[in-house]
Amino acid sequence: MNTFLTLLKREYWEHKTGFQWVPVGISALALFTTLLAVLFLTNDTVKVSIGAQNPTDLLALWEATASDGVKSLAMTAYYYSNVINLAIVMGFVGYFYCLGSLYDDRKDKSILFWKSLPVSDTETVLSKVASVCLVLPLIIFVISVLTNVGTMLIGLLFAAMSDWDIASMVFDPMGILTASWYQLVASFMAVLWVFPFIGYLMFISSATKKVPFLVSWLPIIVIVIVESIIFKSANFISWVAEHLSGLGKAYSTPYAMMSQVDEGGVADLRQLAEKIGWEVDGGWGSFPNQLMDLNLWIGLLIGAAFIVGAIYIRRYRDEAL
Amino acid sequence: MANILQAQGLSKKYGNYKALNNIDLNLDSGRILGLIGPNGAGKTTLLKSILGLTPFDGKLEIFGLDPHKQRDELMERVCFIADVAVLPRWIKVSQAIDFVEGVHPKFNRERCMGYLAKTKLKQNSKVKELSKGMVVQLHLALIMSIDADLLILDEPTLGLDILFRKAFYEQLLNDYFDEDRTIIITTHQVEEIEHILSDLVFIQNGEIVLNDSMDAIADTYYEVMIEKEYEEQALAMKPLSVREVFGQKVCLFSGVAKPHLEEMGKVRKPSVADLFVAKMQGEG
Repeated sequence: MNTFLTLLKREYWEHKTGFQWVPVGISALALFTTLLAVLFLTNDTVKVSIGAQNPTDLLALWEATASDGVKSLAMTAYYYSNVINLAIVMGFVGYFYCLGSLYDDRKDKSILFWKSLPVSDTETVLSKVASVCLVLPLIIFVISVLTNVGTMLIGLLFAAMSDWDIASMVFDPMGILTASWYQLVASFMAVLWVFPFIGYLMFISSATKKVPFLVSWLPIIVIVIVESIIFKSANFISWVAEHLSGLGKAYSTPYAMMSQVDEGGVADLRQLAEKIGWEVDGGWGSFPNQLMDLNLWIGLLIGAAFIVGAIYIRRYRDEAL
Repeated sequence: MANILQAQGLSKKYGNYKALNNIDLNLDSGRILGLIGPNGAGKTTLLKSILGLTPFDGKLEIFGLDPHKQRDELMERVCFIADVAVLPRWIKVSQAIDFVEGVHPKFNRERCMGYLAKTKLKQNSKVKELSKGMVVQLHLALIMSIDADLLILDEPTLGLDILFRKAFYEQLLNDYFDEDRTIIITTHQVEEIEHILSDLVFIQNGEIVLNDSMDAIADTYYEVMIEKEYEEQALAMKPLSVREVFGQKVCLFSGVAKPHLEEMGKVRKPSVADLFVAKMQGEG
């Protein structure tokens, strides 16, 4: 266990920039632009619309005729939206992390150092899987909680500077707690959906002799072309697209949950998904339905198979070559 | 003294090229083996077979373990420094120590700190900021703080200046080596390590051309500065090699009684380098 924790620390040390400072920077930038908007554009008649969060939305919400409960849910949704920036960052960071995870140390030969220590390749690879599937979302979660608090502080500043008495609406610890919880759950749900791709990228990273980025696209392109020529179909790419739509399901579900009160929420969401062109199934708006989706589990199995392959290659590759 | 390494008919082929050809080798604990050979002779392939980094044909056992199949168990007892600078460039000195401490049950932090105190290494420097010599110092400090039974060094001092090299081997011998440990070293700078070796193996074209203890070598090989009048007699005795120094012939003999040689001129122990050259030319 000590070994495994040390391996996780190792990954964190090496990827501190991507795992921590990039998302911190993005969140800080978003908060900063919101703050600028508050400081320089506070005006009841001017619609402020820069920054990650739009403080004038708060005014609209205040004016709206709705119960306090609904307004609180809307505030929760306002805080929850902080996750979107971070989800995008996490996607990019995770993608490049997976591609490099079992390749970079072979390229710079430091694999000979790692392999000189009594750590099995299974432990090494699993520590990398855990880093991207557990550690990264947890770090992102901590950053998103801080961002939520920052958003609230800026909202309170806005409340103080405007003539509107919205502070009591903005100051919503329960809403922040709920939003943070949703952010955490949605992130992990997203990880489950992309798990087959995580496994695939790590397999490529372990197997390739050079440029994992290009090599990772090659089989996909070949399969799509071959399938379209031989079978005149596109089942493969639609399976991929459907699985990736899981990201949409995961991150939009909290919105649906927060708008359950007015029944229309889920329906709106489905309408939107259809507009984008995604097939709408029971998974939209419901985490339990997503967890019971056979497709999700097939994806998890595929991801696991790729990871077993990645371990095998790392273990038995002829390092003398 | 227990046998720790046993190779019988060890072979390794890449296509038609035989990197290792039917190697037999035994090694007891408490020895320091010098593995010497020209580039491409199979040294690194042999070491990588021993370290379980490459599959092989034939029989090879280290501590009774098959290095390729039982690599994880083997690495508890074996340490190595590869011939290329392999410490990850991003790691800090303190992190490297923490990491090895976290994964190696036989690592001793105090010892490591003791070694590092003698260097100019700073705890929060990153490897990429260090000079090549300092990286080797760090690597050696980490490895020497592990209570391993077998240490394998593949060209450990490559690219280092003579001061570093000398300090490296002195430290290895004085602070680390004892009768329970075994060290295998490959290097091109033979003359610098010959005084610390207990055994010598020459390898060429994937085959072992010499495998003896240094004591046995000292009793077998003699270099004679031949006096002019004995030249013909000496050459008739088929020396391994003949070279000329200030117009005088220097012959290297194998298996000729020392008193017999002393009649022809001054006898001395050949250097490993001269022996190496003679052997390589003789075989090649």
